[in-house]
Amino acid sequence: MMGSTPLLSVADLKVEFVTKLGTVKAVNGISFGVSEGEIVGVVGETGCGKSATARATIGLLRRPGRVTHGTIEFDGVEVLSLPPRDLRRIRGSGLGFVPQNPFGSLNGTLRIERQFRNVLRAHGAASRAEIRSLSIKTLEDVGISDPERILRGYAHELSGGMAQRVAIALALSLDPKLLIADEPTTGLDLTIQRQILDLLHQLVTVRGRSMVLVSHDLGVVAQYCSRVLVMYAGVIVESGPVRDVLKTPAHPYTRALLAAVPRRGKPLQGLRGSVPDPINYPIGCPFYDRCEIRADPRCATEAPPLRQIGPDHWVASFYDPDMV
Amino acid sequence: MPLVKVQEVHKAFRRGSSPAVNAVNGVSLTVNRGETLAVIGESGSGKSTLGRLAVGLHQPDSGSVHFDGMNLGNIDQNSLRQLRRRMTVVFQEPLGSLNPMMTIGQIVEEPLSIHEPGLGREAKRDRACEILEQVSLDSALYGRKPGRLSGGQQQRVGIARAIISQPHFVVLDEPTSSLDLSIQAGILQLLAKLQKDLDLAYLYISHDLASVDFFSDRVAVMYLGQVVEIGAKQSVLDHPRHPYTQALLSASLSTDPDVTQEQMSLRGEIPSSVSLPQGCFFYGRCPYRSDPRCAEERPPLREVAPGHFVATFYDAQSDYLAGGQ
Repeated sequence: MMGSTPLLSVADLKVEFVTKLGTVKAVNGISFGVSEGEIVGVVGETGCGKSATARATIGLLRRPGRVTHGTIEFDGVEVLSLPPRDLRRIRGSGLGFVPQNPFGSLNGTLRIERQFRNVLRAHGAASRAEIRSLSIKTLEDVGISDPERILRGYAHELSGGMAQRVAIALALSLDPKLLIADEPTTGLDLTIQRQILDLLHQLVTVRGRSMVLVSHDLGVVAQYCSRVLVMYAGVIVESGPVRDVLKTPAHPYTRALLAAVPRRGKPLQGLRGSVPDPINYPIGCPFYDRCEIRADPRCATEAPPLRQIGPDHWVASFYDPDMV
Repeated sequence: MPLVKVQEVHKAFRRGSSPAVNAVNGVSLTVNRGETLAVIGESGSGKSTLGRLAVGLHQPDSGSVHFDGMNLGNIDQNSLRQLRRRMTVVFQEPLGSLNPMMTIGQIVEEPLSIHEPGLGREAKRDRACEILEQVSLDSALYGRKPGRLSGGQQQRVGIARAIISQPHFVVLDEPTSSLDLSIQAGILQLLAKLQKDLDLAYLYISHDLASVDFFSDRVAVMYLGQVVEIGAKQSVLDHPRHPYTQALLSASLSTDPDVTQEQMSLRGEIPSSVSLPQGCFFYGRCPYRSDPRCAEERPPLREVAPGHFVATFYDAQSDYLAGGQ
């Protein structure tokens, strides 16, 4: 799908969660790449597999989730087959992670300074002074004006916006080549969201790094990403440059998502039905049940493969807007 | 006469020996029959508390709330109960506001047992099924529990419960904030249809500017328990005059990649509602503070365009004109 050799290359990834009710196929065979300097958005609704994709990529799947198939190659190394020790080394300096809930990634019982020390020491920083100055510098980079005070404090003393800044600073302190941010601003207020996203965008571009930005918000994707993957029911249904996907969406689901964004004086369109059961996916197109078009007899019987419809623009649907 | 009239309302919450949290600090506004007034603002702006005050779920510390000319603070319990039928709430978390032990039928019917105790079982059941259909739910759900419903269906149950008593005024407290976009669209459509069919007035509390723009007639912007700007939607959203409204609008992200928005950045975060600032509440974060009064006085709401009020000493209009020359 990519021209140059990508920094991250995910091939036919499958993630499953074994539950009492059955095996949930959270990610059902997806492939994508992230090149240097790129910000790739992953967008979709609850249960589409976007978070599982992000967490699998960095080896932080929550139990009982596990990767059952596929390869994840980062910077030329197959990540999934690495022993935990080597994976930890890559995680941090190679791959950084910013979670949705910063309080989940910050340790509530340790002072912030200690958490910087733990992270930096695990990755070879030497003296206490060195660690301290690096922590202060990273906190300043994320727009914290009084880093010394923050370092002395605990996570619970921080507001949501400040905690997310600290979580980002921790992830960035190792200067990862690729940052994976899983809904980093969900739950934060609008003005804070914008500050955090501007900050991530700036840090990633200034340092020439890359980012995977998982979001349910099309506005976030439109304004901050260069390329986007639209996920539905565990698969990528459309991918391409942000402008192409959002201005000329090809998949009926992408179109429906955009039509569901409220706009003044425009009719609003919801989607009928609901997402298919991830334990028993239907045969045929996963969007079949909710699709207004169902253009092809194969829709009910075959899962449409991704096909190319423009420069790096791919869609998994039998429907061809140009034919209508 | 407006349907709902909130006048100079204050509300603080005290827990144990902790200092009081000043949630609403002198709010006045009105809601007219059949209209939607949106209340926007960030966490801690007091918008949910205002919603509860407006339907008498909280009693104001001072100030008054009138519904259809009656002062909620001055009527007996019996009349208040009668009024409650006419003003209801749809809550943010559908599941959290629905009793998981009750059937959907019982949940939807419950207001009838209070407001129309004489109604027989059959009649109640008929009304409930009718209302379920009105919110596009299968009346076969009547005997089921809400736990297995999807988020969108749960919120439809919450809406059914809110309209079964034939209210005139419904507070919508972030009714779609926990729902996916495609589900939110259906709920907003339903609410718009019900408003038209039943001539409902809505107080629509939200932090989602796109839905506010789609859904409301007028908009009130709250900051730290005060209304800093209020007026017709086109006026407030297209020509915001308060620096906070301007910052809030500039922070919203267009889904059109070709529309780039400069963000007006604010310093710091919303101050604590425990110790309110002197002077203008927005002073600490305001990029335009220049008037000597900003630090000393609380700017009153003044009318800057017909029906459009703003509480700031800063004059965006003159600044805009000066900048445009």
